[in-house]
This record gives sequence, structure tokens and C-alpha cells, in this order.
Amino acid sequence: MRCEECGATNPHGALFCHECGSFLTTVAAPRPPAAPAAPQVHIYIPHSGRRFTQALTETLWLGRADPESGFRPDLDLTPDGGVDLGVSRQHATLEPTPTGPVVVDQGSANGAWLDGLRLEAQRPYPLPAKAELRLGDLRLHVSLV
Amino acid sequence: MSYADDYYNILGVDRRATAVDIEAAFAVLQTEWIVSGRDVNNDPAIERLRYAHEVLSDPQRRALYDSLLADALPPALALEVQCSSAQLAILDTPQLIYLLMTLRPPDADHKPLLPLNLCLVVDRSTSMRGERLGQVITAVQMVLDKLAPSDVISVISFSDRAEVLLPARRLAAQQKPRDAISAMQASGGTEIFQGLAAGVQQMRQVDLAAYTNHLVLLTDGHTYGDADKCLRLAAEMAAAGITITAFGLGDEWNDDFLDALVAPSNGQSDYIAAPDEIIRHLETRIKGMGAIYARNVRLAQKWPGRITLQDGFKLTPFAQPLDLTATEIPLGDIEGRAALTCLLELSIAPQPIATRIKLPLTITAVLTEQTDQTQTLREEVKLLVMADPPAAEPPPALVEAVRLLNMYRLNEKVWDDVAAGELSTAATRLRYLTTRFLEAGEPALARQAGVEAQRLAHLQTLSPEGRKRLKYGTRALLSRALPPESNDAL
Repeated sequence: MRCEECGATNPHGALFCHECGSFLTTVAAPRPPAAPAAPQVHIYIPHSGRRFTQALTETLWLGRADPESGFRPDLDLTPDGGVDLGVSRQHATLEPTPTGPVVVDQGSANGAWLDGLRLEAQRPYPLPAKAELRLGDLRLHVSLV
Repeated sequence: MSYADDYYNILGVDRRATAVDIEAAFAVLQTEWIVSGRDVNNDPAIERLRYAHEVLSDPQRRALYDSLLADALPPALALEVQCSSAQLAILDTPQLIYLLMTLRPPDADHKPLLPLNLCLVVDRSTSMRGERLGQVITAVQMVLDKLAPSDVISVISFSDRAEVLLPARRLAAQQKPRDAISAMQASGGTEIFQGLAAGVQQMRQVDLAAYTNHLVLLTDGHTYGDADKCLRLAAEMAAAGITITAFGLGDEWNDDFLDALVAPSNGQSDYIAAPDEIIRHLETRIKGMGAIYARNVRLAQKWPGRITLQDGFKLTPFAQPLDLTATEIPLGDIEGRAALTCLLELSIAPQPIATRIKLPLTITAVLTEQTDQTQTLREEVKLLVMADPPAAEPPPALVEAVRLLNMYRLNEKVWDDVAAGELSTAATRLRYLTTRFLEAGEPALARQAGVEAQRLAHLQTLSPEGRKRLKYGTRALLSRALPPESNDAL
């Protein structure tokens, strides 16, 4: 039985990969429970008091609009003090995946933290139902419904 | 056979009655009958009385009767087994199955008959100076408040030698126990054997069979050159019916050693990060010990050929690895009404088609309620080898337990990798582990794993504190794998 996440071979009957711990069986994954087709993402920004809600049907970009290149993130953090607080233009993304939503630091200059954990760039981390996401020094309260 | 017409009840004696007790009881009852003026020749009730006396006054017949009675007792413990898959595929490689075993005491309220014989063995080496020792003294005094007057307590403090602060006596008979405990002062090295040996000597002052026997060790350091002696003593203690709990305080103690020390009795070993957590840990432990329903629970290892038990973990009442080297695996005690659950991982070598495999699970337990009687439970898990087994979903509780056990083992592998100099493998594994912790909703453990990954990258080493936080943190998760009913029933 081959693990899809890390490629390790596991004995038949194993439920989780012995190398990386991911779920192995082809039967429905036990956790996270089958994610609803498109969870709603609620984001609250304490610094500005702004609230933002959107269905997570495709990749959602968090960052700052860039008039020069014409890049416009789904959530533009410029009015929330994004420049002063070190938010990059293409800072991070929230993405739906078959095993549930993930957050990815898109190689930002000042880093991203999930519940205090520094994210490695370009690596997807599962997004808990409620979490604090910090982009540079800007804090976002993210919840999934 | 019901309790009401059991021969001991007819004679009005208990099961530990001596031959003299039985004769005396019979004589009294018979006289009462004669005095009451009832017909002593044709009454079925007096026939029963005579027959009961006849059986119980003959040692051989009494022994046979006792064994029948033991079988007829109402079921005390119930055993339930869940299996990850009862149908196995035909393969040319070994395959794994998981068993989740639950031992449940009856629902009815019960009071343990056996009082507690508790010994606290406290490290007072120089490193305990200050807040640590202060908190320990408060914690030990709290324990005194929690015990019943008939419980036996002894307290030992040790450094490179041991001192008996409280000799083993019933709490009611201890004189000024608080003063003796507050006199403790920190100095010297750490020789755990000194403390254990003095503790066992105190515990043996009473008849161990008449008590629930528990020794609690609290230490903050590496023991000095006597680890092997300690382990030998721990095995002897387990054989004598003494369970050991070991708490390591701070980061400078050897977790593998404390795990090995509690293994023969399957007691608990745990990490106390800060002195102010000592009281909470000790309090939880005492609560469990005061309500032991069955002790010395064991699982016999009688696996059919080509089947090996690869791993085993107790999940409740507390998470603890099992000692798989013993022919009878110690599972510890059943505390209060809380179930004892274990997860077993078995490897099954290739089998021919249509093979039927029976996995015998035989568990023995000493019930403290019924005059220390041993109960044996037998269950058989039946497996069938087939060409194309139907896809079946394993029970959710079992899957959850395996998931957490896997996380625990992943963490252990990180430290093995580091010890073997495989730093990049260790770093990769720590990253996986971080993801698993986040999935499990454990941001604190994820953060700790992240910190250790960074430490590994920069310093090529991991911290002893991180090792203990991750090890005991993941271990504690295991007891949360099950629905709370089995945990909160103390």
C-alpha cells in the first residue's frame, strides 16, 4: 500500500502511513470529516474592524492590490494598514482541497503564521475551523462555516 | 447458582471462613432449629443446611464448590473487542490488523473493599531546592487530606540516601504527619534505588494482599548508576502486587528509564513541566487509586503461529505503552467505573486462502470487591482469509486511536533519527508531524514541533524539554481517542 502523500510503502491493513502519518485507506477519510462542497470563509480584521465573507470554491488570494501589474487579490488588505504592517502583494492563499481547506504562504517577504506557527513558504497547511492567521504583522481571525 | 442459596449464605459465614467458623455457625443454626421446635427430620430447609455443612466442612469438596461458585458469580468485568478488519486478503506480504479492546466494570456503584497502601517516594536532591520542593511538600500534604483513615501511608525522601519521613501506618495512627513532611530539605545527589528500596520496605510492613498497593515516585534527575537495580526491583514489586507511578519534574530526567520502571506493573509515567502542576498531577492519580475495582489485569500472549503482536498501547484510564516482552502483558488497574482500553497492532504473515484464524484474548484480573478473587475473561476474534475481501470501514473509535498512536510513533522516530545522525530525515518527519498536529487541532504541539524543526536546522540538535513536551503531549492525546464516557466515570 503506497502513501499518496510521501510515497512510502506500508503493509496492507495499515490505516495510517508509518512515515508521514497520513490516512491510507481508500475508504472515506475519518478526519477532517468530509468537507462541505464549498465552506464559507469568514475573516475578521481586528486592526481595521473589517469583516469579509466568501465561499471557498477556488483559490482565494490574500495580499495587496498592485496597480502597476494589475494584480488584484480577492481580499485586498491595503485599507487595513497592509503596507505598514508588512503584507506582501501576493502574500498567501486559502485553497479548497479534497481533504479540506489549506493555507499557503506564497513566498511573502515578512512571513505568515497560523496560530503562532510560522508557515514554510509554498507548503499547504490544513486550515482549522477557527484560527488566527498573521500576515507580516497584520492579524486575521479566520473561521470556516 | 444464585447468591441467595450459596452454601456460605445458608451457614451465614463469609467465604474466608475457617473450618472452626463453619463448625461454630452450623452448631448455632442447628440448635436454633431444635429450640424453635420445628421438625428437624423432614424439613427441606434443614436438609439444605446439613448438606451445606457437609460440603464446606470437607476441604476437598469445599475447594471444588469454591471453583464452581467462582464461575457462577455475576459477570463482573465485561470484555468487548473491535477489529479493524475481520476479512483478510490473500497476500504474499505480511498485513496488519488492529484490535481495540475494552474492559468495562459493571455500572453499579461499588466501594472498593481494599484500603490503599500508598508510599510516596520524593526526590530531595539539590536540584529540588526552592519552588520544586515547596510544591512537593504542599502536594504531599494534599494527599494526606484525600486519604481515608484506614488507608496506610508512608513517605520517603531520598537523595543519595533515603529517609523515612512517615513510616507505613494507617493515616489515623500517624503522629503529626504534616510536621514530618515540612521538615524535608534539599541536598545531595539522586539515587532512585535508595528511595524505592526504602519505600518497598515500608510497604511490606502490612499484608500486601489486604491492600491496593501503590508507590508514587517523584524525581527531577537522572539516577546515579543504579538504573538496573531499580528495574529489577520494579519487576519484583509488580510480582508482589505493587503498582508504580513515576513523575518526572522539569527536563533533566530520563524518560526511557521512567517508562521502563513502570512497565512491569503498567503504572503511569508522566511529565510535569512546571512545579505548580505537581498538585494537579498527584491529585488526579490519587483519585484513580482510591477507587481500584480490579488490579493486576493481564493479557495472556497466546498468538497462533505466524502472527505477532507488534505494538500495544493502553489508552484509558491513562495512556501508557504496554510491555510486550512479558508472556502475560500487564495492563495495570481498573479505576472506578472507567473502562480500561488497549489498542493492539498485530502482523499476520501470508496465509493460504480460506484459512480461519482465531485470535484468543484471555484476560485475568484480580477483583478487589470480591475478596480478591481472580476473574478470567475469554474472547476470540475470528478472521477469515479471502480472495477479494469486501471493503469494510473500520470502527471510527479504532481508526482514531490508530491515528493518534501513529502520531506518537512518528514522534518517537524523530528522536531515533536524531540519535542515528539522520538529521534531514528527522526534519522531514517533524514537518509531517506539524501538519498532523494541526489536523488534530493541537496548535500548541504543532508549534513545539515547529520550534524543534528550526532548532534542528540551526543547531543540529533537539531540546530535552521539546522531547518531553512532544512525547507526553502526544501520549496524552491517545487517551482522548475514545468517547469521554470511559474517561470521566471515576
